[in-house]
Amino acid sequence: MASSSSSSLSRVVVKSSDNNLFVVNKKVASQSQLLKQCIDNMEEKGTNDVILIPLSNVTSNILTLVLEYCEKHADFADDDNNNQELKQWDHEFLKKFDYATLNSLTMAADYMVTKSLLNLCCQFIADSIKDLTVQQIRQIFDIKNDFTPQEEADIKNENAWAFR
Amino acid sequence: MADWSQLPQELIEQIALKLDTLEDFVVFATICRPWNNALTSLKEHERFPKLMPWLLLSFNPNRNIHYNLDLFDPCKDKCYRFNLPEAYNRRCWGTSLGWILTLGLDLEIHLLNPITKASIRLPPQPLLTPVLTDPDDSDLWKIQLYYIKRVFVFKSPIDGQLIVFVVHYDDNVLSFVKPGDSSWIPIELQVPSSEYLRGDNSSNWNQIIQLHNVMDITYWNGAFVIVSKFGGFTFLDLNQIAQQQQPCLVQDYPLIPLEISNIENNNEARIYLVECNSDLLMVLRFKAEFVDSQEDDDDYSDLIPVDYETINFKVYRHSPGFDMDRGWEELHDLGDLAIFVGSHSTMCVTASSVANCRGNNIYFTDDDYHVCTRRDMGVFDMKTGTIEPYYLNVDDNEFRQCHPVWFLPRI
Repeated sequence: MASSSSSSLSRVVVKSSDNNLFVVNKKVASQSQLLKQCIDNMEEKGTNDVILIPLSNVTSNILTLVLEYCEKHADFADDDNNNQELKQWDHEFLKKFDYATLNSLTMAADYMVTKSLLNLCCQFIADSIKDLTVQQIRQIFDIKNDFTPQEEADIKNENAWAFR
Repeated sequence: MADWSQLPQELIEQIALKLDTLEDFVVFATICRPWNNALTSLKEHERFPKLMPWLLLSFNPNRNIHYNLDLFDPCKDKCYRFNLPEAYNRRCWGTSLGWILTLGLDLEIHLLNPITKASIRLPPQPLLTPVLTDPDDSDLWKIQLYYIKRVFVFKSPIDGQLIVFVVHYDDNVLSFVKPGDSSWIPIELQVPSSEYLRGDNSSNWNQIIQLHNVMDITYWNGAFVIVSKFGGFTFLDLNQIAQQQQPCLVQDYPLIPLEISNIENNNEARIYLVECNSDLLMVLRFKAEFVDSQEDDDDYSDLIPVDYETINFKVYRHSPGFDMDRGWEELHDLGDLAIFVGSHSTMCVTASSVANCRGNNIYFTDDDYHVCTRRDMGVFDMKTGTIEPYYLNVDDNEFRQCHPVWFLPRI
């Protein structure tokens, strides 16, 4: 029925935690399940007003990155998984960031329920960990060793084969 | 400032699940407490990354005086040495749940996780008549010949209980046991009795016969599927297996209309079953027999009239809802899938999710034991139809005691 489209929104405004506003078209916003849910709810209420969605956990520099990702993926929405060009783009996209940014981006993808981005981040992080030693991983990710020496020895001893 | 140790546990778990080797998974747990907690939780829920099976290499009785067993991880291209007196001088069969089944000359049967060293004793096999009187270590190879052909371990989704199936070598009968049970239970078939079929209604309508010629068993679409030598399929209900001690009521399905009828004339063919993405896959393995022209001074030369090698594979797919009579489709391309066949449980892996694994390939180990002069082990490429040898770092002589088998590692 045509009536359902009478209240459809074409754009939403997203507000970052540091109070910057981003105008996002609906197709791009729908890459995030969180934003899509907000849009769907508003459409159900039949509003024609532009809605404002505040994201209290995402800073504007990270939100810019998430939206860049969503924009690219909205263009490929129909064959998301099998497109080589898109995969290449994904890889180049993540390669640019330092680990602190990657951390915030992962949290943002989780918070905004952008599953493909979250998957991508987790895979990228896992790939960076592969074949590294414990010391190297702690150094790269700047993680403090919070085990006592005895605890660490016990844990390693449990799977001594992996540390020879 | 980003703090990687303070990621929500769920995200740490997601990252860990994207690793592709057990070593990286274990290293991950030693980084910091929150990461260790995430891994502990994953292990408790038996959630593991997608891993490639490891190759369990044989003991060399001359070299392994310290009871060391080598396990090879193809992803890392690395051999790990485990001190395992528990498995020394015992035959080993791999499974897809981290366990290997071991059987020694003492005829004791154990499930052993070679990595954690967890062990479960299983009852001895009542069906088996001991063929070895006064055995010594040189008789070890006969255990395979006379006892076990295929092993399948399943974890019940109902109560988490393990069920261990074994196909016996001699007459290819199948039996199962649950750890804690006092004995193995043979799988028997309930069929209309010949008297009943002749119209004698006073007789029992059914008779129990033992299921013979079993080639492989797997779990698919809510039931155990058993394939027999001539292509017959039998379905077993999990609840009956899980709860009953009596012979199981089973449904028998007709022969499948395939080249399997040719298998009847080819003793050197094998059939394997494996579940993959809700499809049931059947792998046919063809071997060529030939007379060994060289003089053999070997002790067992009187038992070795011919030799053999694997020459070809065919793969068929059956999807849920298809008519069992007609629903087999030959696959010429496995895509991203790699299949592992041998005397271990049949397994399959998505190749792109692990390093150093070739999709559209079948990894095979030897599952014949009446000839031990060579090793029939390699990788079959579905695209080219060619076979490459696999893992050449082992002296052929070591294969005499126990052939390498694939198993899926778990911690």
